[in-house]
Amino acid sequence: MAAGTDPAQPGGGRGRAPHAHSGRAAMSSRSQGAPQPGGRRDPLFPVPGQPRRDGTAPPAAAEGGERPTRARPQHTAPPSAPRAGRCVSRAGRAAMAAAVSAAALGKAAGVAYGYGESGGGRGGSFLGPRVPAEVEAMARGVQDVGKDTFRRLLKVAVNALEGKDCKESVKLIAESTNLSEEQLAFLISGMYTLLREALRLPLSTFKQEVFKEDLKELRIPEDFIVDFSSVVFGNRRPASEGTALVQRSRLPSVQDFKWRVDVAISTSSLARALQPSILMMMKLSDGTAHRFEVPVAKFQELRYNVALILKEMNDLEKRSILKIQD
Amino acid sequence: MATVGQFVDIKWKLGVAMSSDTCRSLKYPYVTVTLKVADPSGQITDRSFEMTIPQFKNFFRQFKEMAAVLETV
Repeated sequence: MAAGTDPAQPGGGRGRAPHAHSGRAAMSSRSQGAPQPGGRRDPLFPVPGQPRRDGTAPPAAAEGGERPTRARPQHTAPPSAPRAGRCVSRAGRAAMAAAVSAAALGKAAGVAYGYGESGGGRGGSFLGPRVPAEVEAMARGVQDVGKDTFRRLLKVAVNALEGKDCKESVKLIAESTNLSEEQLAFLISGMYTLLREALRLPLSTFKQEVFKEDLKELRIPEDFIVDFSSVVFGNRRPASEGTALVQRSRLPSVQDFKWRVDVAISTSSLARALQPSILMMMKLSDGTAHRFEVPVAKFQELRYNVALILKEMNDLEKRSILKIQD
Repeated sequence: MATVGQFVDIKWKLGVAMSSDTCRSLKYPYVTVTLKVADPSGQITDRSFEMTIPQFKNFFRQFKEMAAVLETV
C-alpha cells in the first residue's frame, strides 16, 4: 500500500494528468522534474488544454480557485468500523464490516494516484477517485428512503461522529421502519463515511458548492444534499471536530500524578541511612497505576528533562511547521 | 502444601514522609517491608507494602505471639 507509486500504471490515465502547478511533479517518482514552461509539447506532461495521450478529456476545472495538489494520505478503515459498529446490531455488523473492508481496499488503491482532495469532474470528488463501496450503496439505497427516516439516520451518523453511543436510536429506527438489517447497515455506514471524509477537509479549501456538486454526481436526492451540507458546513461542525481531535489514535495518557518526599531513617541494611527519596504514583487513562521510587539524582535528571521539553515545545510553537495554511 | 509460596528474604525501611503533593509538611513516619517470595512454580517476586506505626506495632505483636507459641511446641 505505498503512496507515490509510479503513476505509469495501466488504467491510470486520469491519475497521470498533472495540474498546472508543479506540486504533482514533485510527488511523482519520475526523474523528469517540473512540467515544461512555455507550452513545449512533452507527451508525458501535457499542457492543460492539449489533448491527452490517452484521448480522455482533461478534468474540468469546475471551481474558480486552484486545486490543492496534496496527496490523500492513507486511511485505515478499522477506526470507523468500531465507531459505526457501536450503532449497528450484530447481524448488520457483518454486512457493514464487509462493506468497510471493501472501502479500505478501494481507498488503498485510490491513494496511489495521489489525487487532489477537493475537485470537480468525474471521479475527482472529495471521496477520492474511487468512491467507497458503502457510500455508493447508500447513494443507491437512499433514493427509496423517506425524508423522516433519512433525517433520523443522519442524526445517528452525526451522533456517532460526535462520539455518542447510538444503539438505542438504531434499534428504534429498525423497529419503526421496514428497512432490513443489511439496508440499515450500509445506509448508516455510508452516511458516516461520507460525513467523516467531508469533515476531514479544512473549510478554507473545501467549499459548499463543490461538496454539493460531488453529492449530485453520486445521484443523491436534492433535499438530502441540503441536509448533508448543513451538517458539514453548519454550526454543528465544531462538535464533530472536537471529538475528532480527541479520538485520534494515541497512547494512554497520565490521568493522575501523586508524589511524596520521604526520608529513610533506618533500614535493614543501614542503621543510619538518612537518605531522602521521592515516591511517585501515576495513574494512566487505561486504568493502570504505576508506583515507583525516584532517588534524588534521578529526580534532578527528570527535572532537567521536563525543563528541556518545555523549552522544545515553546520553540516548536514558533516554527513554521505549525503554521501551514492551505 | 504445593500451593503456598516460600519465604526467601525480608527487607525493611523506617522512614518519614516529609511532604507530598497534597500536604506541605507531613512528617508522617512509616515502615516499608519488602518480602522476597518464591511462588510454587519457583518464580521469585518482590512484594512490598507500607504500614503506619500503629499497623506496624500490630504486625510486630503478631510475630511476638507466633514466637511465643513456637516456644511451647
